[in-house]
Amino acid sequence: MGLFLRPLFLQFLISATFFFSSLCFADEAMFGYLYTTDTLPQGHWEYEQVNTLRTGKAQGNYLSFDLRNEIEYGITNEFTGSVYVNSSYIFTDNVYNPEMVSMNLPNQNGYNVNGVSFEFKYRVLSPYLDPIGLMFYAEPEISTRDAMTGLDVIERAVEFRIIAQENFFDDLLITSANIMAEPEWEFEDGMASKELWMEFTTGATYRVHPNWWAGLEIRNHREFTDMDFGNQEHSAFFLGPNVHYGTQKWWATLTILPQIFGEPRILGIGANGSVIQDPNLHLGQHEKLEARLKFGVNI
Amino acid sequence: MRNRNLELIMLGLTVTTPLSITVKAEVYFSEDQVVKSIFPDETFQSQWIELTDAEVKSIEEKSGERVRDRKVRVWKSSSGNIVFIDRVIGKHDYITYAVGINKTGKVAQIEVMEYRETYGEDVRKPLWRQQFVGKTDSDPLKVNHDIKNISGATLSSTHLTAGVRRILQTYENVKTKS
Repeated sequence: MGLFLRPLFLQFLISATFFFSSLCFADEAMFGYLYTTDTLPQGHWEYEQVNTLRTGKAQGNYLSFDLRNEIEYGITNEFTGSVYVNSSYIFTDNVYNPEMVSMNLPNQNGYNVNGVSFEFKYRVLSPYLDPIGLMFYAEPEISTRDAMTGLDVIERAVEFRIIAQENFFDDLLITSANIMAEPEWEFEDGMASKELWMEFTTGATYRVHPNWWAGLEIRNHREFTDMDFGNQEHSAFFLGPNVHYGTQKWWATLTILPQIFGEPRILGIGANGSVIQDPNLHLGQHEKLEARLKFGVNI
Repeated sequence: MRNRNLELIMLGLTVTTPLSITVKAEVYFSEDQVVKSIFPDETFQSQWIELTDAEVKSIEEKSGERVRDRKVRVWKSSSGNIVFIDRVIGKHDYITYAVGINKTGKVAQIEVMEYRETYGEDVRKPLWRQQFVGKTDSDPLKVNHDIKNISGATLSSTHLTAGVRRILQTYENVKTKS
């Protein structure tokens, strides 16, 4: 049985179990990457699965299929907590190491668990009752495997988000904006380093038909070496469509997010002596294309 | 190659499984049933009433709510009681409901006829609906003012409350119209 088969088989079993056991209702993610201020009502549990495909480097063949399984619980109507298990299937063939492009990553074709995360969301203002919805979000995380390179590493990070939401036209149009900051401490081969990730994400989605929503998301991800704002390592912009289908029992969201602009574009000289570069994109810590499928049901 | 085909089949199943589930609509009352539930001892006749531009404008100004359907479904009794069959936007689908208004212009009762939302079944409970009884077009009808919010179903309770506010203004325009 191929390694790629195992996570998919497991994923399929989980999907089938949840959907065919007629479990009741679900909380919903209206976007793939962007968060809204909705919370799970008090006392309700939710299972959510996030599948992200990332592919396309400046040289070689690279594909990562990130699988995140989440259990979420409504502690109060305004406060939700959850736990994730993060894992990835990674395929690399003649791909440079983004941390040091003069060296290639070992060729890989395997699935493994990366680590665990905990998520806490607290809604301060509701978009249905207040002029604007507002939520604070924190996600501590510990990893033993880098989801980008597949290499062993100890990473500790805390992701913070401020989430704002505004609805229009009787709540048929949902707009949201997130500001994210994630300090990260990394230990690899006895070396310690620290980084800061910043992300600004915004988007809108409109209910085009009962149960169906369609919209756009835009995302800018930046990384700062040594947590120094004067030392930006890279910046990448992504823009793409999303489709959401939601019912009383379950929901699913698909977002396709190609990179549209990034820098730096020249990463250095690769292991074979050629320049690793792309005319428009940053293909070190990011890829040409990301696609994310989320679905959820309540337990 | 065989494994690759299996992988593709499983990926396809994973993606399409959620889309294959169909959800049964939650319908609690027909029009006949809901009219009898609100005014059990009277005979009603149903009709459609088309609002004029001036009526739409007046209703929107007074209620602060957009009129999405110019054709209004009403059931009228000979004594002057009226039941409106209306719908408002829910998170996933429309919420169909009825508002019974007695001849003095006060809400006699509201009933939720179709509800397909994930949360918020409490909008069907008598305790929440009872808040509307006796309301008139001069009441504010606002969630967290004279109507309590239902936590976890804020959108449903807000839209239903706004719908009743709009219907009370509609009543003033159509009560004598045939």
